[in-house]
Amino acid sequence: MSRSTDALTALYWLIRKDVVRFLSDRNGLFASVAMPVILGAFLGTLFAPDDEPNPVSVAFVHEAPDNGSRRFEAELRKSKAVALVDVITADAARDLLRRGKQPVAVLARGGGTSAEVRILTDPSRTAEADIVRGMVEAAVYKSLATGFTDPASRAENTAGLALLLGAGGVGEPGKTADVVAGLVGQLTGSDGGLGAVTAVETLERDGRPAYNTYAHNFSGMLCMFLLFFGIEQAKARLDERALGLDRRVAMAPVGRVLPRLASGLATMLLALAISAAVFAVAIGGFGVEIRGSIPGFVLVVLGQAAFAGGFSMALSGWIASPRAVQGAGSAFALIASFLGGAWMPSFMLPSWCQGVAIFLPTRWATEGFAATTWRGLGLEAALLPAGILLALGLALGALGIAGARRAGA
Amino acid sequence: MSIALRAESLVVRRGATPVVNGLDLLVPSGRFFGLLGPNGAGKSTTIDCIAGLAERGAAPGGRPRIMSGTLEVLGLDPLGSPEVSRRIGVVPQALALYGDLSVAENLRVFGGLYGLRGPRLRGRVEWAMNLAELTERATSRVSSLSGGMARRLNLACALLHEPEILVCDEPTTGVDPQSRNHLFEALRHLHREGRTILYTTHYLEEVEALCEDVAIIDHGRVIAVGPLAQLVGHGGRSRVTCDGDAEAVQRALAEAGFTGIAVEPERRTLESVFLELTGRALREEAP
Repeated sequence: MSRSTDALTALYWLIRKDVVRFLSDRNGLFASVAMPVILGAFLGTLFAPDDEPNPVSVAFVHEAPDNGSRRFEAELRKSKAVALVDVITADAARDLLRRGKQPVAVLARGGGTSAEVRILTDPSRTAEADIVRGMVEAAVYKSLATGFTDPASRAENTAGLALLLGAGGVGEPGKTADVVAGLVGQLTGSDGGLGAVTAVETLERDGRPAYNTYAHNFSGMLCMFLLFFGIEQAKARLDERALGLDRRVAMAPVGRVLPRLASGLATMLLALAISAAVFAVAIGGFGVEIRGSIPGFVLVVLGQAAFAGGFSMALSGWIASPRAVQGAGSAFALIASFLGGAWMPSFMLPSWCQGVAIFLPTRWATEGFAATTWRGLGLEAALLPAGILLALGLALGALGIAGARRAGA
Repeated sequence: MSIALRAESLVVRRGATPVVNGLDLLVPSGRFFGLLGPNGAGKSTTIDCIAGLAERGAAPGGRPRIMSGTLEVLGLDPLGSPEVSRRIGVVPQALALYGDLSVAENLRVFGGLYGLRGPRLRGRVEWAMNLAELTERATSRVSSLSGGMARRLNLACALLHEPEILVCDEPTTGVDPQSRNHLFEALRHLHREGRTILYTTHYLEEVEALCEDVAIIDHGRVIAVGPLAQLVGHGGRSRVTCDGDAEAVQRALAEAGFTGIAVEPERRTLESVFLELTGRALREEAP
């Protein structure tokens, strides 16, 4: 038999050895397969879009109410995004914020031309403050519009406008005011015009909402746990080195590179098997669908598995102690998972985080999985993420081999 | 006379530390050769070099570096030579076995590393399990074996590819007398088959029990070498062995005119007494 056949035989047994060892470790098997399923299911449920989202609680103070401020309050109370809690004074509202009992307060004061709306915010609750600000602006806008469309108040507002136009020297102020009021009414009124365009349309496919939170969260948790799996494989390599098994393998006619390569390939194969198991549960139990390109999905799975293999090789090649591998590897896995969007979509993170994330495998894996699952995109949308994952995996694998040579392993 | 192993003026370092300092060694093929020395004498480093684990000149990391001198195994440079790797088997000092794999799976893995496959691999695995008397434990995890069983498996894994030279690096560390006796029998059998055996240890009685030739190594140099009998020598004294009571023999010798002779009863070794009392059968119980 030729040397190359012998090398393939050796490669087969080195890979098989790692696969059998992994399958014989029931606890490791459970952690690698069941944990992404459990966390993916949990987070998928947690982040599932609600029909009735939880409104933001707002301390509402209404001083010196007049018609205008009452219309504003009425519009604000219509919003499903906020729940108003009536508070008597501005000081009481400030106290509630100071003690963390309310995230935002809205202070409305009537008084004609001196009317105002102010928003107080808890600096640690800026997300809620932004929502409330949007709702308040919408309510102000709508209350003003109502002033021109409501027959009872239109006459009053038109008269006021005519006075202003007259003071400004506009000829025939009454007629002009009537035209302006009519125009404003058309633009903002409830019976037509731009003001009526308030419906929000969600992207759908085949009559169902396109987004499946389980698709995102199963993908994300799989990314993270494959990184942890790579760490475990790297630790197993170091344990073999400590037991003298590396030395014994090196005495066989297999060269220096083959055992490293076999280790990376075994990790990649096992990562593929874990991915298949996790997605089987996601598809069978949680309605995740591969709506886009199936070859594209397979490429992303392959790319991610290749990354796990290369990651494991780099860790065991450059770090000598299992504890250090655990520490450094876990830190990377957690940061990459967070910034890469494995936990939550990356658009929710600051822009600089999104910039950093383009260097992280988790970002490309989640993007590739999103493209081929719920977004339903074609093969071309998966090529870049899969290619980057594969390239990163190969680069790390080469780095791992170089590191192992440097260490004399 | 063909030469299995030849080292001339071999100088080896580990990092900055010189470990082998001008080693000269000649091991003829087919001999049972003992390499005797205290801990840190350079035995294991010499074995690393023979097994091809060293590099020449500057080498990264913890690998031994051959700085100068000549080393040949079966007439070939062993460094990075697959040919030499195929023709030698090394029994490492550590139990280099996959604890979470079965006995048979370990043997299959190590056989596979040497390119064995199909019926030949199956046959060699069967042979090795018979040699190690582990056939009945074929499916047992190695982590469940006793120390003696694991040592026997450690030896068997080095023999799967039928090496011409067997290098044993302190192979009896931590084994009971039964297992050690079994290992000795297996090694003698392999030697009778014509294999060259290089046996390193710091147990003098093991060398006396097994080896034909001995080299004593210290501080990385051979300080004595030769056939065991020649090395031990006569020392100007003779030893007479006879059956019977020591006092009666003394009297008989005196009556026959032999004076100046001391006769003492033979003292058995503790190991021989232990083996007589406990038997030579291998103990198979798990630890």
